[in-house]
Amino acid sequence: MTIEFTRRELLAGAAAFAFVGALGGAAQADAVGDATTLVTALSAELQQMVNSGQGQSGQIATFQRIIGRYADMGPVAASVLGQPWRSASPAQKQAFVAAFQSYFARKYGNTFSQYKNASISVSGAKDGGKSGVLVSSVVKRPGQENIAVDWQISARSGAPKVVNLIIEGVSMLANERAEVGAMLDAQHGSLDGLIAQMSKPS
Amino acid sequence: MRNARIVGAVSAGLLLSACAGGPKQTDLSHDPYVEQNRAVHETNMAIDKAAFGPAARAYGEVVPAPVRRGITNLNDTWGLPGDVIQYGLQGNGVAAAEAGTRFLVNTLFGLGGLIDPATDMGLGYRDTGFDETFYVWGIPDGGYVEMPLGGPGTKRDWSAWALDLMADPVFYVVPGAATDALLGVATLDLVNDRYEIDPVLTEIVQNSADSYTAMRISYLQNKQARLAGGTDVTKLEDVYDDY
Repeated sequence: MTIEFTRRELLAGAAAFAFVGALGGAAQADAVGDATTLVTALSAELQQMVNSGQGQSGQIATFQRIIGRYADMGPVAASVLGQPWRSASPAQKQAFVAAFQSYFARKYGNTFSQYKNASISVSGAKDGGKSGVLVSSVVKRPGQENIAVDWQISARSGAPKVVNLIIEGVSMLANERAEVGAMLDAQHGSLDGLIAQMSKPS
Repeated sequence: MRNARIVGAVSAGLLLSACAGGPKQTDLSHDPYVEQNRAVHETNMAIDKAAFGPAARAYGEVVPAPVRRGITNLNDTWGLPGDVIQYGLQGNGVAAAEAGTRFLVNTLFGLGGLIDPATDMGLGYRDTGFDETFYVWGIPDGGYVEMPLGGPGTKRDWSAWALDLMADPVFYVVPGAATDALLGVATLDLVNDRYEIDPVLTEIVQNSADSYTAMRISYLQNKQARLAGGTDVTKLEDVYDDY
């Protein structure tokens, strides 16, 4: 009787294991699908934003809301700041993420707001494993060259979020790391000075 | 004592893995000519601000978009014979055939290259030159060089640029008056390039805390992606590493 029970348990265990295994495989295949769905929705919102006819400040505010929903700005800001992040206090970290987000919204919101009459379409996706999925999109502008924009999507926070964008091969993370480093140097290495400078609209 | 050994072993392991990981992206820190480059960059930015930028904006605002597009098409199409040779040197027969077909279609059915029916047929334009040929042959880029009045490039790019000028078959085949016209077209298209990149240049470079580095790393990443046919998905950064 006891042996029978154990065998049944074992079988159930094996079945459960197989089921979880199948789920795992499905989850992996889904990462690409989920990332593509996210970028498709994001592209639609960006396209609506640039063609909304709002002024530049309105578009930047809209862009900031879009970032809040679609991007995981905590780890992005940490990765951009690099070494100083590790020695920052929790309050500084929180302030830096907020400052970076508003700086980012102004800078890239400005760039995107130039793409009037543009259409964005998703053109493919590739799984980059642990670092996430790279979803490719093309920004088409009438009478001008197309622009290739790749979105790096990671679900490490629990839900798929944008963690980098790569415009014509140029990584936002790499550029902002250099930029924020130069701004920090200009503040003589003061993180609080950097936060104050990034928060104020230039 | 035992704890100290564990800490030692762990930190040695961390150091090794840091080395083994290597640079996360293309190595953007290699900049052998930085001092000379920075001096050139300052002059270039001043000239751009005073002359080239305003001229390009005036051109873009005065000349209607379809005319500028037509000039770009002419310039691209008449560069195609040279592209066919380069794709041949790269051993890329398919791309050579496509560039050749594109040239025939646009010159015969596109008013001599003024309009671009080939793209509508699915034969889109893709620029090439000795820069890509050298890359395919495995010649290293030689380091970043900002050229006076020329802007960003690598040693390999600038050598390629000079060779491209000399090796263009069109200049040896087409009569002199037409090559003069094509030179004019190429110059106008260069001005148009500057006009089209204006928002990006203002936002990413001129407003930068370090415009030299901003231009340099943007250029190098863009070039790398173009030569490699896109971003390498295995080289993506993991932002959660340090978070």
